This record gives sequence, C-alpha cells and structure tokens, in this order.
Amino acid sequence: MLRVEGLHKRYPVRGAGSGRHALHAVDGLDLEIEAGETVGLVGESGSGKSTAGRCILRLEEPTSGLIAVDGVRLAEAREAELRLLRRRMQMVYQDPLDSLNPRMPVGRQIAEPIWLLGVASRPEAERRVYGLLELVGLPGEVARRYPHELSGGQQQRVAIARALAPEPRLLILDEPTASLDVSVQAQIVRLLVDIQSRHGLAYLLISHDLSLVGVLAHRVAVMYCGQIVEIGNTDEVFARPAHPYTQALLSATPRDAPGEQRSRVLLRGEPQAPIDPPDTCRLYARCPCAAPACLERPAHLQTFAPGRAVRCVRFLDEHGRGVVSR
Amino acid sequence: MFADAAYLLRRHPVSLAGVLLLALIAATALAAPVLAPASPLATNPGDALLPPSPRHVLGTDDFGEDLWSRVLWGGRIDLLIALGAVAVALLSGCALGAVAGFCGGWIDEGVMRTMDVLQAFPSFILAMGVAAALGPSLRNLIVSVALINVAIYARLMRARLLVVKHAPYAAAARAAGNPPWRVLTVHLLPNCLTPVVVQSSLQSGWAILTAAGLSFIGLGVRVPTPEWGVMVAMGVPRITAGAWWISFFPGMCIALAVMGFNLVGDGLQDLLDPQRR
Amino acid sequence: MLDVRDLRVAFETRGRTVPALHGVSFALRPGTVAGLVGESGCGKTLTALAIMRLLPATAGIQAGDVHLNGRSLLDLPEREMARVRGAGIAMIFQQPRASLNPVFPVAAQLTHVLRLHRGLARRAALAEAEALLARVGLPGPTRILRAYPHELSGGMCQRVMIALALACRPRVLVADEPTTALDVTVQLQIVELLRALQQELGLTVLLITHDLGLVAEICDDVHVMYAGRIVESASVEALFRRAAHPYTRGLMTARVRAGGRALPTGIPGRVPPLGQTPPGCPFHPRCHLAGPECAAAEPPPEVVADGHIVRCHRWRAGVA
Repeated sequence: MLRVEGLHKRYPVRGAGSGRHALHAVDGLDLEIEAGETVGLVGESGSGKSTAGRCILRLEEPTSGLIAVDGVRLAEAREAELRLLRRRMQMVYQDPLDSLNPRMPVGRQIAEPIWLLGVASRPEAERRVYGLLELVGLPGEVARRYPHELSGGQQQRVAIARALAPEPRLLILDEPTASLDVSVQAQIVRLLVDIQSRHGLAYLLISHDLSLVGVLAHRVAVMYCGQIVEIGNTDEVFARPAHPYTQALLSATPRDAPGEQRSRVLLRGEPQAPIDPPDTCRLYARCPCAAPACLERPAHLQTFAPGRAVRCVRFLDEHGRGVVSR
Repeated sequence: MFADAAYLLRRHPVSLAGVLLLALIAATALAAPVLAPASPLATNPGDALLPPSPRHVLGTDDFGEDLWSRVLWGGRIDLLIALGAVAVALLSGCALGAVAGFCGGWIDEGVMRTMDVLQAFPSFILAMGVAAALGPSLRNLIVSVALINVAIYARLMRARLLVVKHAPYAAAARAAGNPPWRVLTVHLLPNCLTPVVVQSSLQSGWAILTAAGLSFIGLGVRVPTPEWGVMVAMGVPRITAGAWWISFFPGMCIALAVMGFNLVGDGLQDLLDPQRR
Repeated sequence: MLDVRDLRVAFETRGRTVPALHGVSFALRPGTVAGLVGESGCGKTLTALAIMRLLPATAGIQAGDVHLNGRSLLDLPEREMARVRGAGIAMIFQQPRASLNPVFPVAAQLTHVLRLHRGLARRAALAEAEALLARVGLPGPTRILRAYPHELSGGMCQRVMIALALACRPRVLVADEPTTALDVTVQLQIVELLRALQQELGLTVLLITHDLGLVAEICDDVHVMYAGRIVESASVEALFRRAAHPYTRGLMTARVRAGGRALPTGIPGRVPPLGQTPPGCPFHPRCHLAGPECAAAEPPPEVVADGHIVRCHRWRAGVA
C-alpha cells in the first residue's frame, strides 16, 4: 500500500575546505509496506531513519524520490495531495509530551485531523473523540485535560488516538516507547498490537530497539548512515544476520538473564555523519571483518535469498553474487 | 494558576507591593471624578502657588489649579498612554515577529533589518523625532512611545517562534492537516506569549517614563492637560522660588507607577519562568 | 565499604515538605557491582546525589546516614567532603557532554584534577592524563588531550568522564545511567570498558539504571527501588531466577525480550508522582496480589533467603 522509491534527503553543510558539501541523511531508500504489515526501520541516531519517516509523511520535503500510496503517486506537495496523503498515513512521535500542543485540551487535538483532513464535519469530529479515547483505553473525561495533566503513558495514548483519528491505513511510529517508563512501554506495545489486529493497519516502526522491532515487525530494514544495509523477514534476519552491522546491533541488545552467553560483535568507534559519502561500504572503518576487497566495488543492496537483501560486498562474494535488486 | 499566584505573593512580598501600588494608582485614577475636589482645569488666579494645606492637600500651581485634582486626573492620562503604547507595540511587534519567524527567508530579513534600524537610535531620541514630526497630541504621543518598543516585541516573538516552530507538536499539527496560517495562530502563538507578557509589564513602566519625558520637553501633550510629565515641567521654574510641591508630587507619581510596573514584571518573570525559582 | 542507612530525603517546595526517599538502606560489598534499579521518579538518582552530598538546593537530607569505610559522610565538613568526592567516591553521569566544561580542553580538565587532588607537578599530570585516556580506550590520547568536549562524540565524552572519575583513584564509582544517552553499539563498548576497569582496579561500583538488561550484564547485586524505597535486594542470579516482589516480577515481564515473539505484559497504572504516594505499600494500587493489609501498613523487610530481602506482605503468594 505504501511504496517508496529512491528517497533522498540531503542537507547542505559547511564542510572543511571549499566547495559545496551535502549531508546525505537519507540516501536512496526503497521500501514497500503491504496493508496490515509492520516493517521495522532500525538504526542508531543519525542513521536517517527518523528523517526517512518525516520525508514519507512530507513533514520534510525530500530532495528526490517517489512516494506512492495505494497506487497513487504523489509527485508534488500540493495542499490537496498532502491532505490525501495524511488521510492515509499518520505518525506517532517519540516524545508524547513534546508532540502535543501544551495549550490545547487533548480532545480538540484529537478532533483536529478528522475535520481538517475532511473526514467528517467538525461537530461530528468532536463526537468521535470519545470513541477514539475508548479505543486507546482512556476515559472520556481526558478530552478536557491538557497534556501536562496526563502521565507519559496517557499522553502517548492520546497521541495514538490523534494519529488514528482520520482512519489512516498506515501509522509511522517513531520510537513510540523510547521516552516511556519500562512498565508503561509494555502497555503501549500491547495497545499497538491490539489496534493492528482489530483494524488491519500497517505500521512503519522506526526504532533503535531491536527487541521491540523483533516483537512487533514482520519485516525489518536496518539502516546505517542513510542507507538500508539489510532487509528481510524479521525472524530470518534475527536468526541469521548477514550484514556485520546487523550482527553488531543484535549482539548489543541486553541479555535476558545473567550468565547467558552471547557472541559479541564489537564495532570500533562511532558512526560518522554521511557527508559526501563514498559509494563503497560506509561501515568499512568500523567493521570487524573489513577486507581490502570491500573498497574495490560500490556496495549495492543485493538480494541473496527470497525476500532478503544485504549491502555487504564481502558477504555477497562469499555467498555468490545475487541479483541486483532494483 | 491561583495557587501559583498565592505562592508567589507569599514568597515575593515585593511583588505584592507592586500589585497593590498599581491597584491603588489605577483605582484613584478611575475614581478621579469622585475623589477630586475640583476640576483639574479650574484656574483660580487668587489661589496661585499655595503650599500644601488642608484646603489644597498638595498645594496649587501658577494658575491656582488644585494639584491633588490634577494628579488624580493625570493618573488617567498616564496610565492610558502606558497601556495604549504597550498594546500598540505588543500587537504590531508580535505580529511582525511572528510572521518573520514563521516565514523566514526574505520576509524575515526585511522585517528584522527594519527593526535593526529602529533600534539603532537611542530610544528616547527616536521617540523625540517621531513625536516632533507628528506634532503634539495624545494619540501621537502613544504612537511614538509605541514605536520605540515595537522592535523589542518583534525580536522576542521571533526568537520564541524559532524555538517552537521546530517543536514536534508543530510537525504534528501539520500532519493533522492544519494549513500553515492555522499552525501559526492556533498552535504556535499561544505557546509564545509568556515572555511577551513579562515584557509588557516591564515596558509599561518605561512607557510612562518616556511619555512623561516627552511631555516634559514639550513634545507630548499640551500644557493645561493634567499629565504628570507636563506638570513636572510646569513646576521646574518655580522650584528655585521655593514652590517645590508643583514638580514634586507628579514626579513622585511617575516614580511610584514605574516602580509598580517593574515589581509586577519581576514577579511575573519568576512566576512564569520556573528556572528562576 | 559504602553503607547507606535509612536515608530520608525530602523536597521543600512552595512551603511544603514532599518526602522523596523514605528510608533507603543498602550496603555495597567491596569489589562488586551493585545495581540500583527503578523507573523514572523512583529516587535512584536522588539517592546517588544524597550519597555524594550534591543534592539540589530544594532537597534536604532529613534523616539517615552514609558511611564510607566506617566514616560518616553526612557529618563531614564541606572541605573534607570535597576530598572524598575525588578520592573516595567518584561519579559519572548520564549526559557526558553536559558534565564536561565546554570552554576548557580535555587536558586542562584532567590535569586540574590530578594536580589538585594528587598533587602532581604539571608535566607529571600531563603524562598521567595521557595514560588515563589510553586506559579508557581512547585512540590517540595526545590528540584527545587538546580537544574540546564539543569536538568529541558522545561515547568519547563518556570515556573522558570515566577517565576524570578515575583520576583520583577512587574506591567507589557511582555511575548514573552511564550508557542511556549513547547509541546501542557504543553502549556495548562502554559496558565492556566499565567491566574491565572494575575488575582490573578492584572498584566498587554503584550502577544506577532503569535497564534490567544492563543489570544482567554487569551487576553482582541488585536493589530495586519503587516510590523512594528499596523494595527488593538480592544477588543478580537470585533476582532473575526468583524475584519475590510483584513489582520486580512486573518489571521482568514488562521487558521486551530479544529474539522472542512474546508480547510484554507490563504493569497496569503508573508510577505515583512525587508527593502522591499511596498509603501502606506504595505499590498496592498496581499490584495483582494486593490485599487489605497492603493498604493498611507499609511492609517491613523480610528475608527470602540469605542476602535476599523483600518488602512485601504477600511475597509468598507470588513465589510459586
């Protein structure tokens, strides 16, 4: 239902020396999400995963790339097209308190997308607020409250209700539990699963938390420095990660219990911002299995098994060259 | 909010003093027709230059006008100037700053460079120039006092807007289908008002001072009008003759009103800015 | 080693006294890592600040005592406490960049501490600073010495903070969420570094965290905090094998398990805000085991096994 092709987002930066430099925040993102499916977009800060989410919802104007929803291509960001886009897609943000207007009762904020996006009249929208609050497990009297009067978990429920208000087909969830307490995170995760099973929504889950993605996502795409380095079915990627970066991320997830043994893939250093990046492997400087061959060819995302693709020259060499994906 | 105010007044008795002072000045100004024993413009050459006495509590001036009556009526004019000037400056300054900050680009450049020009002059000199060009009248006095404060509000508003513009709730409002004008007016502006409110209280004090100063040098309201600045000016030549009361009492009123506004402004700042607690 | 007894801290706001720590007691065994675990607002950071006597001006210690090697820290004059903060207990914080002074290069901050606390001469201090940076795994220590904090990444800043903390050869290290602000792959590096340093230098570490995974990773003992109290203390093995307090068990099931498809269960309700702690056991409104006695009286500490203490009236009902 959502198709993203060749999404680029570049920011001009003042670099060392002369000439123009660009930060390639998102560098050629291809992604498809089917109805009712959850796709996890995983990466560390600066990997471009949040920028990608914001570009897909056109909260930021992508430098180039195609976004098609239900087969309708959105070429330009005209007001009418944006409304169409946002009726189909909504977003839940990382920090619920920051994403709610502090000076507006939450009921009005939930009603806004319904009448502003032309789903129903304003009085009808205000009636629907109570049904939406019930859907996310909040009492109706919350509608009159201001965001700061609610707990973090309640705020995130309100944000979810607002996102669900225009009856979208896809929710972009940008770190939906990251700023919540552990005991509350679980409540929100359960709520999201419950809503998906009842309404057949598709989710694009943007997160740094592999455990969360493992529980929620059917497919996972791992991003590093603006590019997808590995994509595939979640269970398969988690069981047999192909890219060294995926392996490192997986091995960095905390243990479930003391004494549990786990192989460790430690990366050197920290990610560099992708300013004028090379077309060869971007993990090279940090990669524990880097070889000279890694710098000889550009690293493309290539399919090596049904539904699985990886951007690692060494892996593809060892497992036979696959078919170039797109 | 009421709990906050009560807390503040307990913790900052000075602010309470400011509130009471302003309330007193405002009340006496409003009640001037009742409280004043005589018309502020009633001349009585036979009673000229009388010192304070039970009949004329604050004495009389050159024309035998009762100073107590004039001080009371003067409160009306001075408060009107202060609030009028602040209101004009606030509305126009905030509108300019908000549009500049929200739109950015050449609009921002244009507005802010104009504000730079306004602020390049010492404010009193600028007010003098504008008042002289427009001619002395109450309306023109308000305009010239307002003009020197426009830049302050515009800057304050723009700075605040640049912060909240990038808040996630601004993005969320856009995603909810708000057109840009609605994002600005419904979602962003209400979240920018705190520093502006504090500033208006502090600026009201300055507005009285500037207005009185302009009137003092003859660029504000005209002589018989009961305005504190004019009254101080009228009394100055008589001080050497020993008639100190003509300038002293209106001068005192100016000082008290300015102090009242500043104390309230400080208190508001504490109340609205949790970091300073 | 470090012994905290019945520590009570309260905030003074708007003329009201709001208790935040209701008698926190625990002891650190020398050479071990103890985790102080809880959700935001449970008082774990406040406990650390009270131990360091670095409480914000609005908070005060009402009662209790903190002993370091048998010496009470709360009675020390400020001058001596300053010495303890370097050579006795050192602390590292969640936001490494914010805890470094932005206007001085790393060298100045490190040598300042070394000269002040260890009385080293200028040149010796510089050499020692370089050795410390190498010790915390920073590549090219000479280059780092000349750098300002803003030129370093988050992980590098945290390593510099650790070097600073170790500069005075402390016996105890208090680490407040040392990895929370860092990227996942960098978190792992810092955890490995802390573990290596702890074993090599025989440090005693108090690790403050909300992350049970990190506890499983590195801790020997665990103290679980809820609403300003320690509700359960145990060795890490005992806690993960047989947690006795329903809150601890709730935290365990609330975790999203790596690799599993099972949905986390979580705990209903929310952490009570400061000053609105329910009477009796503070957890009883959220507890599935709660009975009438739980609302009536606060549970006393009970011994589950050797070194395993729980504060719950009904823990026996929960432990199957």
